[in-house]
Amino acid sequence: MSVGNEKLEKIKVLVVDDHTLFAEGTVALLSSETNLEIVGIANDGNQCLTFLKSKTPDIILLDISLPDCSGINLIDDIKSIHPAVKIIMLTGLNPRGYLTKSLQKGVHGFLLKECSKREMIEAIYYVEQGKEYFSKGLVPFLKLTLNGDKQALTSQPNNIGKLLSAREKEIMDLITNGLNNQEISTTLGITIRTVKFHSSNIFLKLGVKSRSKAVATWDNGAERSELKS
Amino acid sequence: MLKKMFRRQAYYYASAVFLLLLAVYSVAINKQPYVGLELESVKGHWIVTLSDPDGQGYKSGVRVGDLILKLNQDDPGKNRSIQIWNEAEGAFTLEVRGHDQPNAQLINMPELPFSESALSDIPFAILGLVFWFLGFITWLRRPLLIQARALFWLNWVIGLAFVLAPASSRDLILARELELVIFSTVPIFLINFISSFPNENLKRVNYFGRLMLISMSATILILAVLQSVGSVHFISLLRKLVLVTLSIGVILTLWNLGALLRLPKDKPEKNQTNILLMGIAIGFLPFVLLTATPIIFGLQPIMNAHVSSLLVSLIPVTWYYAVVNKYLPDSRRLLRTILSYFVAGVITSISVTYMIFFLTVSKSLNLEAFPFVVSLIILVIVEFSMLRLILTVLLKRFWGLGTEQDLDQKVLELNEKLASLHEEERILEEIVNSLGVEGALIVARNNKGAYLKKAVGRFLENPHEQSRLTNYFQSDQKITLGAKKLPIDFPADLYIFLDSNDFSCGIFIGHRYSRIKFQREELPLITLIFSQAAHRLITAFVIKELSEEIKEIAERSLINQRKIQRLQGITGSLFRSIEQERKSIARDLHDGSLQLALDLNRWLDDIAEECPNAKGNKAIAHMREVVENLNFELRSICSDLRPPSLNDLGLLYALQIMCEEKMENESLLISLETVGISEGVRLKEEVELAAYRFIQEGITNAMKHSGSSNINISIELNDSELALSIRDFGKGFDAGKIDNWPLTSEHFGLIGMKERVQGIGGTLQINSIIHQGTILKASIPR
Repeated sequence: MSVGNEKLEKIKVLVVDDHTLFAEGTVALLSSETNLEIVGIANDGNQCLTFLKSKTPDIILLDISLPDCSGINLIDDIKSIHPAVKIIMLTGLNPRGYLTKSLQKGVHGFLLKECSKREMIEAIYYVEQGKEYFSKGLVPFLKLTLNGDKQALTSQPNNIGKLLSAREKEIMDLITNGLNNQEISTTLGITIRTVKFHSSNIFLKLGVKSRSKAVATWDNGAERSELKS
Repeated sequence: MLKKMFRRQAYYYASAVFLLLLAVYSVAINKQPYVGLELESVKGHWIVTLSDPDGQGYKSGVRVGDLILKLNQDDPGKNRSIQIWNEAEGAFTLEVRGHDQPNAQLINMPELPFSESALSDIPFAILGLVFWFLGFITWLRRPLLIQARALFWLNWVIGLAFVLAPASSRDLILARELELVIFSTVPIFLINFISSFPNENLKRVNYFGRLMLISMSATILILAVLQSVGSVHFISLLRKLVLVTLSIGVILTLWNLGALLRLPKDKPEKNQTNILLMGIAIGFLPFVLLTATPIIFGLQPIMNAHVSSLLVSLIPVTWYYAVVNKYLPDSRRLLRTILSYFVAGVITSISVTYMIFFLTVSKSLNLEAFPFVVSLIILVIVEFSMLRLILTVLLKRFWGLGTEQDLDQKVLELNEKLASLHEEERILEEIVNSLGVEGALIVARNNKGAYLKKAVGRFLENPHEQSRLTNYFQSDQKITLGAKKLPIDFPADLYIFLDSNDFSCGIFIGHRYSRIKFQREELPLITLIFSQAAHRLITAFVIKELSEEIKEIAERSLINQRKIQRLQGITGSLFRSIEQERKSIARDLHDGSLQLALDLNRWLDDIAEECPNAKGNKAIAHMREVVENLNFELRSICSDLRPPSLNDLGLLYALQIMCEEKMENESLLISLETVGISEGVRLKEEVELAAYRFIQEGITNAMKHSGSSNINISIELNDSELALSIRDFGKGFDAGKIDNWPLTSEHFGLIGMKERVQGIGGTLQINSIIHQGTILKASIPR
């Protein structure tokens, strides 16, 4: 096979999603990309497998919530038919849990459904080239998944104060005072989503998974810096 | 131990002494005839003052007033017996001159053949032997009983007195002295024996009585010794003293008897004592009445001591019976009978005496003869009664006369039959048939006022008579229990009223077929058998009532059980439909609103990228923010309604995710421990959902109420069930009160959880200790 041939060859994409709006929207968004070709839309796992028996796509955009099964469980079936096919998971749900599971099953990318067209196209090209791609919003989950609790900040305990932004520090103080997300959002007049976003970042920076550990680490760090000064 | 041994030995020694004396004196009295003459020295002449008709002197023609010139060929004053006792005992020849005869006469005391002397004296020996023997046997059979021991000594001393009596009348060596002493000690032992029965009231009386008796017998002993030595001459005083002592003893005994009759009658000792004392009274009465009293008053004894003493043998027999046997007949009834006989006898004797006087059969009213008449009449009465009893029994046995026995027999048979009858209908029928009456009606009323009626025979088909009798029962005063004869115009002959705690019952018994009236003696038996039947009927009735109640309760409980089952079904389906509803709402939101919002988000992003410098950039940025918030909220709602991870990834993943999120959002430390279950294991949706909700609710509860930030969760899967437990270390509560909790929102979680787990066949256990925490345990069948 020549390189020219390769270039002429479009990337064949199969969209597996029962939500017509999203599937068709995806098709519409991707239609402007000349290197991509949507070879089919499957509305459920069954259709997907049937499709795969006759055709061989390069990439499958696989939604997790399907009417007849979970997209996660479909991964193994797909791989058993076409081991080389690359899978990018799609979800409109909270990705927690799914991400780990998907990675265990050997997917190459994970997209949140609200991702932009650019992100999606980027993901498809990345994956096609053999790289992995994950949505921006997945960073906290991803880091947790990859590192777990091990990425402790013991090496730089004294910098703990400098680690967080002003807003994060403010939220961390409230967390230390025992406020939950709802109370923090009321106190600061921001949405819960924002609070969650910030707290996720805080936990990520502190390298912890739970609120109580975050408080412990934060208190610890604060004490040390006090001792130092 | 030694003392005990000695005590035991003492009984044998005493018995041996008794037997020895009995043997010695029995032989001795046959060697010497009983003369029976009392002499008095008047101006150096010995004149006969008393000649016992039983004595050989009397039989040889010696009378009161005769002069005894010589005794055994010697001066009478030199004879020891005459010196001391003024009695001509030990005489073999007498030289007598009658007070109206000029010449003296020589009399030889005849050597009596054994049989003749034995006839007059052997009753005493036997009596003595009987006393000792019965006392000994009593002691042998109940050696530990105080009364038995006291009885032994009493019987021993009495027996001795009887053995000594004939010997003493012959003035054998020491016999008279011994007899006087022994006789005077009898009352001491008597009181000793009686006071061995508990009687607080007479303790002092008995104490002083005993003191007096002891001092009297001591006086008698001293006097007897002095008399024996010949230094004093108080022969008649001594005799009277002994008799007074005896009489005091008997009076004290009767006093005890009287006092004991006043004791509460529920003590068995009382009955026993009564019988004992009655035996004493009856045994001694003839002696006191006929022999002792006349002697005290200086009169001729009405009855020879030999005769009156025959009745004394009743005493040891009664005592033996009363002390040895545990179950005794009712003494009060015995006493009543005896008293009635005695009083009747006394009154009859008075009238007989007067009748004889007025009919001029007797010339004068003889007061001395009166006790004799009394005894005679009583003897006649006793004999008459005995004969009548014997004849009645004989007649009944050989001619089948007398209906009483007939009825007895019938009732006995009936009683046996009744025991085997279980159907209440037949009980009454059987009685009616057996007794040969026209019918019977039982009306019972319990304390709630409910009536129970049962009729057989004539009354069964006669409602008019039934209602008449029922009215009679209702208007009855219900005071007198037992059987009562009804007026002649009543359809029934007898009416029996019975009263127990819960029931009052009237029984009407119809006439006998031949119209033979029931006899008064038959009534108790009739009452007995009918009351038994009535009790059985009532018992059957009560059992029936109870069984109906039980049946009703059982039915009600069945209904309740069904209700509970239905409710459980409803609860189960309620939970199912709630879950279903939540699931479908979550799906609708996810497939509808969320997809729309996601799509919107993408296109807004697209616009923002395509036209970075558009005029409406700010608006677009705001819209993007709003749509992102919308997405977030929709997702949260979906997750809350039905965590999709549970369906997609399984219980364990879903739980892990839940715990992680809880720990991020709350200051909690949750530890999750699993046994027999791994992340890939999938269970029935129903089971996974219930388990998930259980843990979810448990965490929520712990967060809300326990005040603890540590939670341990354990999940264990085995072949049959999924066992879950969630534990906190917080405040805890009183788990015993859960069932009384009101179904408010605060408690709904736990109670609802319980219902839910039970709804799918599982169990939920709540253990809580105050200040130590709470453990919730659920096991759900796979």
